[in-house]
Amino acid sequence: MNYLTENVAAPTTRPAAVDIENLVKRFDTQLAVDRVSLSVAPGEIVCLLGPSGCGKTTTLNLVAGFLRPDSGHVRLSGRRVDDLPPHRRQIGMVFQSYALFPHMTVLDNAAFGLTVRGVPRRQARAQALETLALVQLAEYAQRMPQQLSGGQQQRVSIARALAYQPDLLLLDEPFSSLDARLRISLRDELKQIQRRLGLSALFVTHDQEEALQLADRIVVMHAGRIAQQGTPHDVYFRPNTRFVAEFLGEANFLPVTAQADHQVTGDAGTWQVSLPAGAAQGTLMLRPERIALCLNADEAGGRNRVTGRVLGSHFRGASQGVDVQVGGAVWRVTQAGFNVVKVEPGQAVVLAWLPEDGRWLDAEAGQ
Amino acid sequence: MNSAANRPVRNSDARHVCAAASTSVADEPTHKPTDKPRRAWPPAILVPVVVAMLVLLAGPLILIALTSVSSGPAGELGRGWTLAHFGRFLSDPYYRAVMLTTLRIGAIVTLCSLLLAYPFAWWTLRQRGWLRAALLFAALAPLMVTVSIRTLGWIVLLADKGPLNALLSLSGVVTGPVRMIYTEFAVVLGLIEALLPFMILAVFTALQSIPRDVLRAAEIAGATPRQRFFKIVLPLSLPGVAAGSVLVFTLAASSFVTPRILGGGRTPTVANLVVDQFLVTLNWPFGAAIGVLLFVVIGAVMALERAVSRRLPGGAQ
Repeated sequence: MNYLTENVAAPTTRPAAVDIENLVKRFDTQLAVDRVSLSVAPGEIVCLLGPSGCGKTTTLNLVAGFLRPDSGHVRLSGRRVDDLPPHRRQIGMVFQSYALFPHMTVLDNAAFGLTVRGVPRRQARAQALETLALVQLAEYAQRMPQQLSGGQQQRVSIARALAYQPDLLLLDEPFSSLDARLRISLRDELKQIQRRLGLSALFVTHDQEEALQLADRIVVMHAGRIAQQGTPHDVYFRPNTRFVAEFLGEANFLPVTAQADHQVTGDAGTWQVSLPAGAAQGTLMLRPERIALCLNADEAGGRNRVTGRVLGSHFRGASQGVDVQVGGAVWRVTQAGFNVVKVEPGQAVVLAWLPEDGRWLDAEAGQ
Repeated sequence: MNSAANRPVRNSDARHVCAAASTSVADEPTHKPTDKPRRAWPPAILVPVVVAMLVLLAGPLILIALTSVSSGPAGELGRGWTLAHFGRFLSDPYYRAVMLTTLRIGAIVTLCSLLLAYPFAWWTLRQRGWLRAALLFAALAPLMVTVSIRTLGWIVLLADKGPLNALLSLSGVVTGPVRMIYTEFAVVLGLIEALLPFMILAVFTALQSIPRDVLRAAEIAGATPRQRFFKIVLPLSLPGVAAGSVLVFTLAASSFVTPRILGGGRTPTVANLVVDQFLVTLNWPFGAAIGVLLFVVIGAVMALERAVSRRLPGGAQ
């Protein structure tokens, strides 16, 4: 089976697995998807990330063909599919609810996409069994879905979606009904399989950690629109708006005024940060884990710094959060577990960070 | 918790440990085949209902059963026992024919109701808003009219000089009036109309319980509308079909008002035999024996349905 062989580097001339252009979808009067454009390159895994109701699932359903856009186009591998019903789109899909066929064995579930394509029974079963082996469930082939655990059921549904070698894999919050540990292990497994088969995938989630780990590219959605897209590293450290910054993780937001020479002044000091031309009033964003907690100014060295007083700390296992009163604001600092500086409430400390770890958000983006 | 949770894990093999753990940690099968519902005593609030059932249902049934084997001429109990009444029914070709007619009517009514109800339920399910509400109301409307009014309506409609015959002669399909009233055909028609709501409700409920995602999963996996129906919808709705069928069959085979009025005495059914034996001939033991036989036959059909449903997906619950 050629699809089980290692992925050969894709030539760049292949058309995008998904290409969405100016997609608009209304439900009654509500604009669910508002001029969304994005693409998924062959072999790429793109995450649609956002809070519930942001339009990410609607976008996925438009790609699948369960919904028809009010305007805009969807192309799959370069082909316009606006008039193609879902069953002819060559897509595999994994649902949050698993959506296995309860009256079929695990093997028949996995073979379903092949059977309906007219693949002879024996061959369909052999191929399905191979796909089940891929998700480590070959020995469960004769069980009924209800006899499996949630995690196993979701792996069956992944096998069902992969068995017929679709051009694209869609995943709609696939791990949201599973508990935390299982979610992480399945995430790893999925990423491995995706890499191995060179799958193109569009993945919907509201879990930022899942998106950061799985995605080659993250598309953050907010109120029907794309708020930002980029690599996980990009959207995490270089958010364009306060919404994106907050959705992807903890952040400190400090009101500041831009000065000359890439300097900003807040109520507790003046710091270096990269500024765009014409910056005036804005917000400085700092990720708590990029701030160093120092006991004195010497430790802070030549970095940006500010002095404050410890309010308290929160033990979180792998890390520790420390709240520091700086002027009229409370800053959150996160220390990695191996590098915890012991501090007492009321203790004076110096907070330090590198200029490139600060992120300038102008007045509008900082809302 | 299993040991993987407590053991320190080296980074390099974390993935394998996680994969292994996924089958054992906090990921129990959603349905264990060995699960048994816990038996508990019913709360006191159920006592009136249980007493009422015992006195009003089980009591009469036991009395009927005893009467059916009593050898007293008027069914008095305690004058000795006999199976002669059962023997009389089973050995007489006339009575056997009546039993067959009754079962045939039940089967035809069940089949026709199913063929009418299934597409209606499927189509209604896909409607939204007021149309769906109106369709469901229309489906249940026969339940809101009393049986005698409904049946008398059929007499008017099916009469020799009724509107249906007028329509038939107008269209030139027939020359003289077609005999419809007081035939088995009229009985079947009346019963279908009366019992269709039960079938629609049962099938509608079964279809409604198929999750949307399951249908979508089949669709995106490449199944055509036809394949989706025969491979997913139909098999998953069979428990509802079985439940509706047994309900309609039971009601059709034991009904006596509709066959009596629309059959005009020319289509005898078992239920009517029972009524006649009790009220006209006053042969209570024989009437009771016929009743017991009907009870047994219908009970057998229900047992068959249970046995079949148990093997269906989503059955046995």
